[in-house]
Amino acid sequence: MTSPDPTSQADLHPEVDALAAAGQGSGIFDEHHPPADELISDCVHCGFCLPTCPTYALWGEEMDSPRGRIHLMKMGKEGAVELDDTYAQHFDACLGCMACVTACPSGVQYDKLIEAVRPQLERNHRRSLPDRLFRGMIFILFPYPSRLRVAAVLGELYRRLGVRSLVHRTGAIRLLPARLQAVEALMPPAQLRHLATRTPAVTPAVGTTRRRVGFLTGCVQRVFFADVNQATVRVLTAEGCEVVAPASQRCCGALSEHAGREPEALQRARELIDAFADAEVDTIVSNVAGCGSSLKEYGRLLRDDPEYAERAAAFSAKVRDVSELLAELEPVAPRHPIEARVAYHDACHLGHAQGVRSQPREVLRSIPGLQVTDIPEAEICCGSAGIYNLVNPEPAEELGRRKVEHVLSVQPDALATANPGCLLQIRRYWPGELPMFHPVELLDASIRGVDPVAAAGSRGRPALDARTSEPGTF
Amino acid sequence: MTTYTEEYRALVAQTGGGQVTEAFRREVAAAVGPGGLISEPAQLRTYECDGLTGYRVVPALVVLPVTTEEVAAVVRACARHRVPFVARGAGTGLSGGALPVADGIVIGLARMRAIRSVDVADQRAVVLPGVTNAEISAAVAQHDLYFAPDPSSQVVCTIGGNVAENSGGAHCLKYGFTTNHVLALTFVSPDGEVVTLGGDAPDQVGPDLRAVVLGSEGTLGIVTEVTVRLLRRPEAVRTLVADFPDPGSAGDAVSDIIAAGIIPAAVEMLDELAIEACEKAVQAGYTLGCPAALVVELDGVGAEVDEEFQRVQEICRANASTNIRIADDAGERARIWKGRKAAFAAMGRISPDYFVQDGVIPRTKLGSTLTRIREMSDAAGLRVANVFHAGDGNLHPLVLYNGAVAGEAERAEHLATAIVELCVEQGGSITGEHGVGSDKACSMTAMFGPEDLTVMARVRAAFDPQGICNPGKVLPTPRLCGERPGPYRPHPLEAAGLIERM
Amino acid sequence: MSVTQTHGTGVVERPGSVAEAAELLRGSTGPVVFRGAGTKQAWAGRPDQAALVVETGGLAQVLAHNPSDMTVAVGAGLPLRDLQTLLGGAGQWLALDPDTEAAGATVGGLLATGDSGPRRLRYGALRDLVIGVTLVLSDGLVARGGGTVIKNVAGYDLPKLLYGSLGTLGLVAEVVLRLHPLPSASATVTAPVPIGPAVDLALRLRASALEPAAVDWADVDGGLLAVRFEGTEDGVAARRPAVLDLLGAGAGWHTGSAEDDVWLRLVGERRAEDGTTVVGAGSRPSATADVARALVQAGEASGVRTRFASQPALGLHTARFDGAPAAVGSAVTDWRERVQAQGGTVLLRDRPAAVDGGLDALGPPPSSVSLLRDLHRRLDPQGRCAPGRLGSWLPSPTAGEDSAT
Repeated sequence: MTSPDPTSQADLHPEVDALAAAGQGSGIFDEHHPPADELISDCVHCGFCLPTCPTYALWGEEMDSPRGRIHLMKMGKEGAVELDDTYAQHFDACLGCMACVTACPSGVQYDKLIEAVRPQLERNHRRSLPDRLFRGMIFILFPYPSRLRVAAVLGELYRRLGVRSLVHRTGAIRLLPARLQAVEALMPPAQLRHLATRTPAVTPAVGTTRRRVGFLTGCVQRVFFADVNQATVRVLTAEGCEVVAPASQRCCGALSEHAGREPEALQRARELIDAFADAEVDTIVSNVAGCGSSLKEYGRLLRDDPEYAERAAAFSAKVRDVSELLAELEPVAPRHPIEARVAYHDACHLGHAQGVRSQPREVLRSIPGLQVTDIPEAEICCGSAGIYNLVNPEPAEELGRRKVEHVLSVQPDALATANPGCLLQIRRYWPGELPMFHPVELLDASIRGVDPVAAAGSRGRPALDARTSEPGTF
Repeated sequence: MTTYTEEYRALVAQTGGGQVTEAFRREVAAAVGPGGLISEPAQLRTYECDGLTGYRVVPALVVLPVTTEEVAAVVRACARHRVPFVARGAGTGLSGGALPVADGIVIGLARMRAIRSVDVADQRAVVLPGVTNAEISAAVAQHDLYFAPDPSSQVVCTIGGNVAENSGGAHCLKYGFTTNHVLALTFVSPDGEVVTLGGDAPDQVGPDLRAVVLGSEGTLGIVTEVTVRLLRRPEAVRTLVADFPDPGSAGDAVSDIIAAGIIPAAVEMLDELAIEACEKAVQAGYTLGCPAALVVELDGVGAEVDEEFQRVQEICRANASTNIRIADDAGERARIWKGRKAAFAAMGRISPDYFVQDGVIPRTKLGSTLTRIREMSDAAGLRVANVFHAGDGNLHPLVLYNGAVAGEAERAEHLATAIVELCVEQGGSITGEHGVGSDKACSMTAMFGPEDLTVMARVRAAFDPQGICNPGKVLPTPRLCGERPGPYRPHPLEAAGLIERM
Repeated sequence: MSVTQTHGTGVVERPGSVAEAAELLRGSTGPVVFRGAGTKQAWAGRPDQAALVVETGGLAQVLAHNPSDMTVAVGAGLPLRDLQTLLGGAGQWLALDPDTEAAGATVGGLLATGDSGPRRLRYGALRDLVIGVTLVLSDGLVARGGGTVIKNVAGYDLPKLLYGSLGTLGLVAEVVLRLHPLPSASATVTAPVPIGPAVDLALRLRASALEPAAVDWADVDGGLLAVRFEGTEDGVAARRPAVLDLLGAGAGWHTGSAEDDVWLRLVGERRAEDGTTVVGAGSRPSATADVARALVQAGEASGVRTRFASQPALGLHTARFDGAPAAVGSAVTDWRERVQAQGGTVLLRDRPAAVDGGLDALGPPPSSVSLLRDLHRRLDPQGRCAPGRLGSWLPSPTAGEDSAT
């Protein structure tokens, strides 16, 4: 596939342009799935969403609350406002965390609404040049594991050659725009030896095969968190799953979808469905909250595509977060104790978007000795939110610091969360070192009989040694 | 007899009359800084209504101050330029109390949300107006304290709004309203002076100005700091849900409980439709299809609560209760309340549109009033869901309709109006907790005579001689409400084209 | 029907209905004083010589009692003790136990003076129990505020505005009240403790789940703390071990007439005897010991004998001063300054007239005084209602203004 022009989405799909030009019946929106009146009118303006909305929590402004944004959508549909920077900024400011969906007593489907508005903005609103370039850069890089690997190597060199410390020591970092500073700070340390590892196409179950499951390896995940993928494969196989990870799989399109880059997202969805077409699996597992949430939406995303609509719906029906699957399966692999107090952070795209809250906790509680602690204000996003902390670094930083305060307040030995974005975000603002894990890593360690929390504690660094074994070596 | 005295007319005729000019903008911007001003048309429109969406007015400016001094400076600018202002908290009010005034500004207090101090020994806390009701209780829970008023919107509504509306909630039968739980207020009067009302001592010397500001719906000034009284959490709380074969039996059970000398912490009733909506929204475990359910909660000293809880169950059974579900633990209790508190918003699950009504009747008229409401609803061909505070006779009939069907909204509004008229006929009130606001200003004449209103207008004029502080709310405007003492009718501002209906 | 008699220099009228009261006020001029049982006429400042005294004895009917709704509407002149007798028959009471009940204090007078008793701790003050009021203004305007149901937020809360208004805004003519069931059991625990530990115990009781109905302390034999519990038989009995444990050695459990005796004794410690000056005060509960200490210091500084009584869980206190009028005046002023310095309030109650000569009855005004003046000007435009009672806070109108009508 050719890389898209960073400054324009529409050029890729001229048919969308035509639609945009034709449609005036939906106010400032074009006719290609504008936010639906029925969904808008579900909102009774009660305001129960306000306290859970991260941007309302930060700014206390009505137009940066879910209720206000729905109000803006309604005005947009009526053509009572202009689609200008002012209008667009309030949707760009939305993290898409979906906490409001959880909070809403009227069942307003804000997720569907915001996902309808974002592509409209991408198509019908021209952003400033620096904004377009920056977003373009993100989408040239992130959805491509091969490019990410190169970036990771450069990042490691930047770190190891002392450039990073020089840049920070001299204050040169502050000369960078806030967005680039965010990229610099969030770039995780890559383990170079992992950059070459690949998840095998098929990994057999340990003992009797109970299920054959497909496994989404992710983009950022496979480059920067290859050890989480390895742990996932080990845990699944230990629990009797044969794990299929088609080598042809690429980015699932979640980042694009959440940013409103619809044509790109649709294309990636089709490709992923194709990649798993011959896998012959009953379940497709994701260990990344944002990806899983997107995979579950394929049915809706491709509803207009006669060729894919049915296949997409069938695909979505098979998707499970890894914790959902593990909670479903009766545990067979023996667990060894990990004596630790672990704060569990609900990733928005797992908790709010997928409604998966109890399962990761159950998975963690299946580890003897491990105490799972909830975090105050758990429903508020940490500020990561896909590419949000790159494109909106200031509010993301405030939210990140706020989340860190709350995590600190429960005094955990370690933090567990099922999304790499949250992990990077919280780590960025954490004072000192806190061992952070994907829940499946802790389960993997427990099954293998190592204690990553204690190891990290004695070393004062995240427990990298628990992640070193290759599949099948335990 | 006419509805208004000449004096009344003269007093309420004062409504500012100034304009938001460039000079005014500059003064306000100097007070709050550019980050505290909202002036883009699209942004202003998101402030055009509060929780009552039927009436909408776009303000000329929205100001978001963060300190008492900023509020006072903005109010002083308003006073100098005679520009009307409307204070707003979370905008969850159901009577349009925070409806903006045309050519006026909105002073949003959503950024003033610090908890200043908690005095555990004296059981009080000082909070800023934008703090939510639920945040107060959460902040003091570690000391076994809580803030008693608990409106259903407590997770979002602010203490400033609670003070303005004198909010109640499910537990006010035993514990009273906001006015019973506020010790002191920092208050910005409509001329911009900052004063303290109430104080450290239980009583002040002289008339209780704090009391008249409480529940004045933002028409006397702006409260910028609130000292709330906190209560010790009771030793025991017992909650049950009793199902009844009809609302009449449930009403009789409530009367018998009270007659037995028991003051429950709360007694709530939900009818079949309300139960259906709640279950769809939050799966709280109410019995679907049950014609009437009572939520009864007792709290207090353990031994006493146990004794009275037994008695309540006997009374429910004696009144033909078909099933009694007892909450075994805090989680179960929370589930029951979550269902009840989500009731209004949950109506969206069973009806495209609905009116939330709020009226009070003497508790003893419960059974007969419910029967009357049923007859009226049948006659109108519209469904009415009932969910209310049965212990204090505060009804919340929810009139369900479909706005897409021609004429149905008008019929529904008519029915909602007729129900509140019925409440006044029964010796009750046009509002128990949602306030008069914009919605029921014209209905004030159903409850109060010309001299009553004149005295209220004098009180208002004492605080706000220019009429710039939330004008048009609470007290009826004769020009818009007509002369005949007649309760509730569609808001004439709408007819006058000054506001638009959704 | 209106009863007219002359009393001293002012005309005393006793209207028999709200309409008569309105007529009377509309048809008269000059300073007017409202009087119920006359138990608190000297509270706050002493009013100027009244041209007219309106007594509420003719407005003493029970207008409506709805036992099942637990509400009652009464004429303001109804004595509280008569009301309690009537309500007792229905197993109910107005949950208010002011010291002046025995002296015939009326419902309207109690509202206007904001008087309360020890059980305010559990049930609140009259401010918390009043749900409706009929007010007659000095220009004859009759206004109802509130309503007849316990839950109602329509219009301004005039009933509560009148709480503590001391007859300066108008005549309280009718009052609607919320009632409580009479508790089926009551018991009082006493302990001999001085004020310091008593305050500590009071705060611990308040922080406990024992829900005391009243906590009272008086300077009897070095200090007597009394704690009352009300509720069901089982509920009251269940608290006994924990309370006796908390109050320690010397604590006694009293019921029946022994319990009544305890409370009569405490009331005696707040009563004005001949020549005694009685002053009420309020503060944060935790400041009670400081308020008591301040009283001792103020008394010593002026050479005046003082005694302290308190409801420490509420932060309501009573001080008694005995001594030469001028010395008492300076001791009261001194104590008031000390109490106000920590955020408290002070209200002069009964005292020999001579004491007033040497003291400003009200002291410095609160920050809200200009609002109070504006409100007063609107409700009592001629300044007729008890001019002088709020002293310097509400200056009497000039003679010219007064005679304008």
